[in-house]
Amino acid sequence: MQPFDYVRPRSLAEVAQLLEEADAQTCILAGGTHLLPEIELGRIRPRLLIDIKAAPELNELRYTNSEGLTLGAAIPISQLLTSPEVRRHYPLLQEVARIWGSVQVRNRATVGGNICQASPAADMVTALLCFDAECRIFGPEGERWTPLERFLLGPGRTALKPNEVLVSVRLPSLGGKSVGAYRFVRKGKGGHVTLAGVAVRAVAISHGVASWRMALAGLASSPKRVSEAEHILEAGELNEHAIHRAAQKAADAAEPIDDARASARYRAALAPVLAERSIRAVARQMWGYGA
Amino acid sequence: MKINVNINGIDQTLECAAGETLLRVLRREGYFSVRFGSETGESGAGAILMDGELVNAEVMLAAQADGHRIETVEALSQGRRLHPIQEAFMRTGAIQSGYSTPAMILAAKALLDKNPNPTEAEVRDALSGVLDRETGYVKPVQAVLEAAAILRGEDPTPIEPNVLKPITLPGRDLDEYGDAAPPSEPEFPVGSDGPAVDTRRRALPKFVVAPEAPDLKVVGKPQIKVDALKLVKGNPAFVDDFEMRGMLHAKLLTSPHAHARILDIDDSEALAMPGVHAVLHYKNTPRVPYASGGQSHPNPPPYDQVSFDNKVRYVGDRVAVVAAETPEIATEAIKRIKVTYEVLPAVFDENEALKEGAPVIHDEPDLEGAYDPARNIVHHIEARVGDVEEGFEKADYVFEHTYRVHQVQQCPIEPHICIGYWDADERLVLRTSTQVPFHVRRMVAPLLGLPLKRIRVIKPRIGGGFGVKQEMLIEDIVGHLVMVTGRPVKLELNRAEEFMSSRTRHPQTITFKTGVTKDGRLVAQRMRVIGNTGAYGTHGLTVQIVTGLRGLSTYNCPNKEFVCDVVYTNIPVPGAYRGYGAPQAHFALESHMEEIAEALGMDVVEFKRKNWIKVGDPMDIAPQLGERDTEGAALPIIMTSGLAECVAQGMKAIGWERRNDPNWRQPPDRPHIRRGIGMAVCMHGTAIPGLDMGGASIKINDDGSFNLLVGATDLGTGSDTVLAQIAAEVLGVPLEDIIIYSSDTDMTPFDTGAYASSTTYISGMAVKKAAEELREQIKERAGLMLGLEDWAGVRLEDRRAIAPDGRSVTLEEVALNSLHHQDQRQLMATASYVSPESPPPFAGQFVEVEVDIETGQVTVKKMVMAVDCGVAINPITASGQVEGGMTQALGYAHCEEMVYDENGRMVNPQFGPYKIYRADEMPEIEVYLVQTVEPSGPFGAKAVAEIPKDGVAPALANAVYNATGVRIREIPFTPERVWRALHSC
Repeated sequence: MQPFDYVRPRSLAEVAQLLEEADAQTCILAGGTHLLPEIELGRIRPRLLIDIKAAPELNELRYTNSEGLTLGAAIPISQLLTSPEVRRHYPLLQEVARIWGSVQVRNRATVGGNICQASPAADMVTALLCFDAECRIFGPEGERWTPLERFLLGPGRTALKPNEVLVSVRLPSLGGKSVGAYRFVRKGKGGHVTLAGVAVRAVAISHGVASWRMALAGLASSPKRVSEAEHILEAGELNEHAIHRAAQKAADAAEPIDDARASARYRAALAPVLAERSIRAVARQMWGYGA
Repeated sequence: MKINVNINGIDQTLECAAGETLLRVLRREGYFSVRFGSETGESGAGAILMDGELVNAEVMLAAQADGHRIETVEALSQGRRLHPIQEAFMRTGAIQSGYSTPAMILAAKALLDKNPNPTEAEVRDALSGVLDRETGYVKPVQAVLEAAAILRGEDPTPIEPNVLKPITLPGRDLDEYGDAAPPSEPEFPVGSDGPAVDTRRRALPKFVVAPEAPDLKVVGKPQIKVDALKLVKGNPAFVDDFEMRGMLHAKLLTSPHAHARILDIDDSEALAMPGVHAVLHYKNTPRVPYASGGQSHPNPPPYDQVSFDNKVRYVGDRVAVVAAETPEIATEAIKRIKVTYEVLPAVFDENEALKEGAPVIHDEPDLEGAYDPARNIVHHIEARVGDVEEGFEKADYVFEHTYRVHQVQQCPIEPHICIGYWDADERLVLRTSTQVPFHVRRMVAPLLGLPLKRIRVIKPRIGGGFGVKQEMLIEDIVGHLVMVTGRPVKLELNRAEEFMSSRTRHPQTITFKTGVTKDGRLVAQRMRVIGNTGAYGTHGLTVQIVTGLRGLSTYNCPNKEFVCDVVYTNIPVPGAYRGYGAPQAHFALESHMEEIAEALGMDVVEFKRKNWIKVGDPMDIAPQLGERDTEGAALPIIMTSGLAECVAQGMKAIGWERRNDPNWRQPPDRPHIRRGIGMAVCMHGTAIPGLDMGGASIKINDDGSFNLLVGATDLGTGSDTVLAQIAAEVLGVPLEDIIIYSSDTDMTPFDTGAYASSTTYISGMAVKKAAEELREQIKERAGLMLGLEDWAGVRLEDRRAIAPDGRSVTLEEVALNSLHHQDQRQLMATASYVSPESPPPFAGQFVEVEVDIETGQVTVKKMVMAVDCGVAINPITASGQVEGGMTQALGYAHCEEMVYDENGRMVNPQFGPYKIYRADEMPEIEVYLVQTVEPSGPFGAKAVAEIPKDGVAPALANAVYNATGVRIREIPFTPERVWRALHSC
C-alpha cells in the first residue's frame, strides 16, 4: 500500500478540526472494507486517513420514540443485527444487513461508509430511503441536515464537501407497526453486487391502511425512491390491480444502464418483478395476504 | 508509528507504517496462520478475531487495531492440547490444503463463543466470509457442528462406514432398475439443531462395496490426514511462511494492452530509486524460447514464450519486473518504468481469430512448433475411427448442435508465490508453490543459463493448485532476479495478477454431429472443436487432445472423428485446470446426447445406457489421442466399470422420477418457479499412460518407523496421506509410523507431479513397490534373527515380523539389529512406476434445480455424484475431492466467469465480482462411492481427483431444460443468460 498518514481523532470536534485543513487527498476512514482495497488497487491515493471509529458522536446507535433512530456513520453493519430497537421498528434494515457481505465484512463495514461510497446498487442505502433518512453533516460552517435522497448525487458522488463529514443518519420514528421486504437479484446470495433490487416498507396506520415507501437499487444512478408507486399503494385498497400498477411505476422510474454485470434491458425487466414481490411480501407480513 | 495491541493474551507495542495492513504486521511478527488470499479481503484467509469479532486483517490497517485485543489460531492450542474445533476439523476431514483452515477455525470460534447451539444455516453464515476452493464446505460445516456438540458436552458422532446394497445386480442391466428391490439403507438420526440438510452425518460418503474388495487395515480406512496437525494449528508450512534476511520483493509490470509491440523501455528512473536493486525486461534478459506447461520432456510445442519479450499479447502479459527492498518501493518503481508501445489490433474470440485478416499474434522468427501461426492456428488435431461420412449415410437421423464453453480461473486461495536464493554452495534454491517441482527444475535451467544440477526446487505445503500450478510460471523471473541481485527474492502474485497473468481454462466452441438409428444406437459421431489457447500455446495441444478423447470415448460408436484447431487469441492464457479439457467435452457431449434422446422420444438414461462403454469394450480412439506415441500398443480395454451402479444410485438419491411429475416441476404455490433434475454420465482417465512416472524411497529408522520420500506433490489433495497409508498397509504398521516427505528435487525421487489424476495410481504404485521390496528385506532380517531357514512365510503385522510358527520380532528390533548389531546395513528400497494403462473412473452426476422464470435465477438445490474410483484408499479424502470438485464445477456451470471490456481487460479480477460459491450458498451435496477393484491400481484404486469436474455443467443444463423446456448451449447459467433464453432475447 502506498504511504499515507493516519490519525484517529477522539471526538467530532477533533474530526472537524482535522477536516479544516483537509484537501482532496484526505479521506475519512470508517470500516475500511471499501476504501482500503481501493487504495491497494491504486484507484484512490490519499495523503491522510482520518479514522472516525474513536469519535463517540459517530459511533452511536440510539432510539427514542420522539427522535427515532440515530445511526452513527461509523457503526458497523453487524450492530444493526443485534439492536432490539432496529429489530422492532426497522426490520427491513435487519433484512438487508443479513444479506450484507459476510460476517467479517459486517463487523467492519459501516452505514456511513456505505452511504458515502454512493454506489447505485447499495442495498442498505436503498433501505434507508424507505425511512425518510436524513443525514447529519458537520463541517467548518457547523452542522447541517440534508435528506438522504438529496445527499446522493450519482455514482461515487455525494453532497459532502471536502472538509465535511457525515456524522449520522436519523430515521424518524414511525408510529406504527413497520414491515419491510427487499427482493433483489445477484449472481449469488452474497459477495456480489446487486444487479437490481427493490425495497418496500409499510407502516400500519389503521386497519388496511398504511404508509408505503419503495426504493430501487441498481436501477438508476443512485438508489431511488418511487413516490408514484407509494401513492398508488396508499391511495386505496391493496388489490391485484394496485399491486400491478405500483410495480409498473417501479419499472417506469427505473433508468438502468448497461455495464459489465448486466444489461439495461435485463435490469429494466427485473424492476416490476422485484417490486411486485416486495409489495406482496410486505402485505403478507402486515395483513397475512397479498401472496 | 507505534501501536499497542494485545495479541493472544500478550500486550505488545509494535512499530508499523501508517499504510501497513494488519495482515502484514501480524505476519512480520510471526503469526503465520494469518494468510494472504486477496488484496480486497474477499478470500477471508486473513481472518482474525478482534475483541472477539471476526475481521479480515487483509483489509484493516494495523493502525486501526491500536488498543484492541487480537486472537489468532496460534493462541488456540497453546501447549499440546488442541481446541475442540481444531480436533473436529482433523477428525471430519475438513482440511485439504489447510491454507484457510485457521480462518475457518476462528470463524467457528467467533460463532460458538456466542452461540453454542447453532443451526446449520448459522454455521454456514459464520463461514461465508472464508472462501474455500477445496472442500465444498461439506466437511468444514460438519466439523463446526461436531465441535459445537463436543463443546456442549455431547458425544462425538462416530465415523462409521455407511454401506449400501447395490441396486444393479451383476449381469443385469439398468433397465431393470425399476423392479429392483429398494436397498435397505441404514437410518441416520437427523441433527436436532439443523435445518433439513443433514451435513453433519456425512463425514464418510455412502459406499457400495465390491464383494471382491480386499479387507485391509490402513488402506480403505478414514485415516486423519498426516499433515492435519500442522495445518490445524496454523504452523508455518507454506512458501510464504519463511523469511530470509535481506530478502527483496519483486513486482511485475504487466501489459495494459491486449496486443502491442514494445518499441522501447526506459528503466533509468526506476533504477535510480533508492532501494531498487534490479529492473529486468526484454533488453537485459536472455531470450530463450520455451513452453511453460509443466510437462514431461520434451515439452509439447509450441515454444512461443521467452522470459521477457518485446511484444505483449494480452492485458496482463509480462513487460518487466522490479526487485526492491520493500513491496512499496517495487510498486512505485514499476510506475516509473517508461514503456513505449505500438498498439496493435487484437482479437479475443477463437472463431474470429481464424478469419482472414485477423491480427497475427505470433510473428516472431524464433517461434517453434506452431502449426500455422500466420492464421493463428497453433495446432491442428485429427483422429478417426471408421468413416463418419459413411456412418451418417447409414444413420436414420443426424443431429448437429454447437456449444460454447467459457473461460474461468482455478482460484487457489494461495496465489503463485516463489522465494529464491543462493544457498551456501551457491546453488539456486527455488521454494515455490508448484505442482511440478521436477519439471520446474528442468525447464527453468536453460532460461537462466544454469546447469540443472545447480538448481534445487522445494515444494513445501501448497494452498491449492487445481492445475494452475502445473506450470513454470514465475520461477524463471525469481531465478533471474536472484542471479542479478545476489539476494533472496520473493515474488507473490496478488489476486488480480493471479486472474489476469497466470493461467485459466480453455474456452472452446464445440460442434457435435451424430448419426443414430431409429432404435437409438450411435452410428457416427463427429466432434469439431475450436480451442482458444489465448496468447500462448501452453497446454493447448494436450488439453484439446483430452477434449477429443473424453468427447469420443464415453459412448460406443463404430465411426468417430475428431477435428480440432487450437487457436491463438489475445486473452489471458489458458493452461491446465482440473479436468483438463474434459469438462468442456462433457458439457457438449452430455447436452447433445440428451438433445438426441429428446428428439427420438427416448428416455435419456435408457438412450445413454444403450450406448455407453462397458466392461470389455475397447477405447478405440485413445491410441490416437494419447500424449505418448502408443502405436502398436494393444487397444486399451475397459477392465472395471461401476457406471450402471453409479447411475442407479444417483437416480435413487436424487429422486429421479420426480422430473416426470408436472406438479413437482411446477409447484402450485410458487407460480414463478420451475423445478428440474438433470444428469450426466462422466468418464475420465487415470494418469497419462506410458508417460506419468512416480518414484518413492523408503527406509527404516531405529525405532521401526519409516521415512517415505516421494516426488509426488501434495497440494492439498491428501496424496501424502494416501501414499503413507499404502506404505503402512504393506509394512504392517499404523499410519503414524510413516514419516512422509514431499517433494524436493534434492531429496526425493523424481515424479512427474500432481496432475492428470495420477498420484494415487502412479505414485501409489511406486510406493507400494518400494514398500514391498523393503518388506522382503525386513522379512529376511527377521528370518536371520529368528534363525529361520526360509523367511518367505514371515508376515508383517502390528509392528512385528511374525514367523509362521508364531515367533516374532518387533520392527524396532529388526531396525536395531540391522543398523547396529550384526551384518549392518540400511534396510531401504526405491521403486518407480509407470503404467501402460489409464483405467477410467466413471460417475453419474445428478443436479436438482429451481429456476425463477421471471428473473432467470437458477438455484441449485442438490448435487449428487456417485463415483466409481476403484477402491478409495482413504474414503474421507476421496469424498472430499468429490465434494470440492463438484463445487468448482458448479461455479463453472453457474456463475464464475472472466468478463472483459472491449479492449480485452478483465473487469472482474477479484473474488467478489468473479463470484465463487460461498458456504452459505451451497446446495446439499451427496457423494456415493461405488467400488470396483481395478487390477492395475494399488489395492484396486483408480483416480478420483478430476472426474467431479466433468458432469455438473451438463447436468445443470439438462436440469434447466427439464424445468423450463429451454435448452441453453452456453455456460455459465447466469441469471441474465437464463432470462434471455427464457424470453427468447
